[in-house]
Amino acid sequence: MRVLMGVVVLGVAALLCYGLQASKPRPVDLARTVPVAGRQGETVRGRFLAGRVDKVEFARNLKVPFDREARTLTTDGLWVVVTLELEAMRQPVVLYRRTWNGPSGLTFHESDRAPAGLPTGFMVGQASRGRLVFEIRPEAASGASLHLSRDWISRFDSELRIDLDAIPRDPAGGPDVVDTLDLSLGGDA
Amino acid sequence: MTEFSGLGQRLKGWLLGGVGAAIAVIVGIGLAILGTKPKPPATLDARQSIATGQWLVRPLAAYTAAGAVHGIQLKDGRALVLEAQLVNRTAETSSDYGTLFKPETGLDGKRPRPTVVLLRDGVGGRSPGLHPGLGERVAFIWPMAKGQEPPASLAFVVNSKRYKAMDNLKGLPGWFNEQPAGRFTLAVAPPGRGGVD
Repeated sequence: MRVLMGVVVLGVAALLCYGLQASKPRPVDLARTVPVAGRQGETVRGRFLAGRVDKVEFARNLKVPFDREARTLTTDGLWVVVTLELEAMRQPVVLYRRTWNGPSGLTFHESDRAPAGLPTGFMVGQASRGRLVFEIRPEAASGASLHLSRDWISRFDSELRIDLDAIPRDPAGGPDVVDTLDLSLGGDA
Repeated sequence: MTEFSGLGQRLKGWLLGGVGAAIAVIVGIGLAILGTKPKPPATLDARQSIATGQWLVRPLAAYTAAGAVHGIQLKDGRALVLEAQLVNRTAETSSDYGTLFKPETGLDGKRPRPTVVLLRDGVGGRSPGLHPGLGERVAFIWPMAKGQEPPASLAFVVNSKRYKAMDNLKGLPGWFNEQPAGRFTLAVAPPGRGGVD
């Protein structure tokens, strides 16, 4: 009987320890960026940064300036050009993590093939307008959101998560994709 | 008398326990040694796609190059180039392919990390971020030792990493514990015959 009691106590202790381990938040859960949700067209204010997405465009090819001439960039997926305005709120901010997050959780970083259309540093009281270029899979075009943060694990910082729900649509309801988008002229950015 | 026989029993028990423990320790150490013995990587068909943890890989061609290749000036004159089609199988853009291929021979002892160039549109971006589910043709370029003769064919080891939802240090997800997934052999074309100069 005493042995049985011992086994039961041991089992309960093991369960308790497992429960503590499983329910304990990880350091990254305690310290990671705090999401600040918003929608396309409205100004979303995080802790250090305010941003507004004005326009989203889709294209199969992208014409970009390259060595003083225009060059066409192709893709197996889709090009997305997001026009937005950003401003630092309290102090100069450096923004490194700019991602397009599809509805299924695929995360596309800003394309390193197209020339940068948005600076990484932002000043207080000086709104910077620019564009971010992504290369995405076609199924990640609808229902996506734009995530902007200084870094994925900037401790106790906020991350802007802007729902892109006002994308251009074709008559069938899918994203309206143009054949070639010309960024070599400067556009409205 | 009874005390002595009790002592004998106890001694016998101790001895038996000791021998059992010693056997267990020896068997454990033996198994551990056998387990760490590196196994030769499996032979893979270079004409088929190879799935590693993060990448779906299809080797396309191997060749040596002299002078310049894919917009990269070669310091010591020659380089070994492996062209491959890469598809990112993970959920996030990645450029974690620096140790994906390891040529078994044919390079100098240090085996520096390759320079990786994107072959789309001829723009020649180095260390491109490859997006999830989008296939890209890339070239891995290793400098060759001075005066080294290019081999006629070369074996490459393909490495694979394992996903961990949280690492032991910070609890962050990531890809760790690189292991060889297999090896394939490709014919190496001399300069000027591999499609580029």
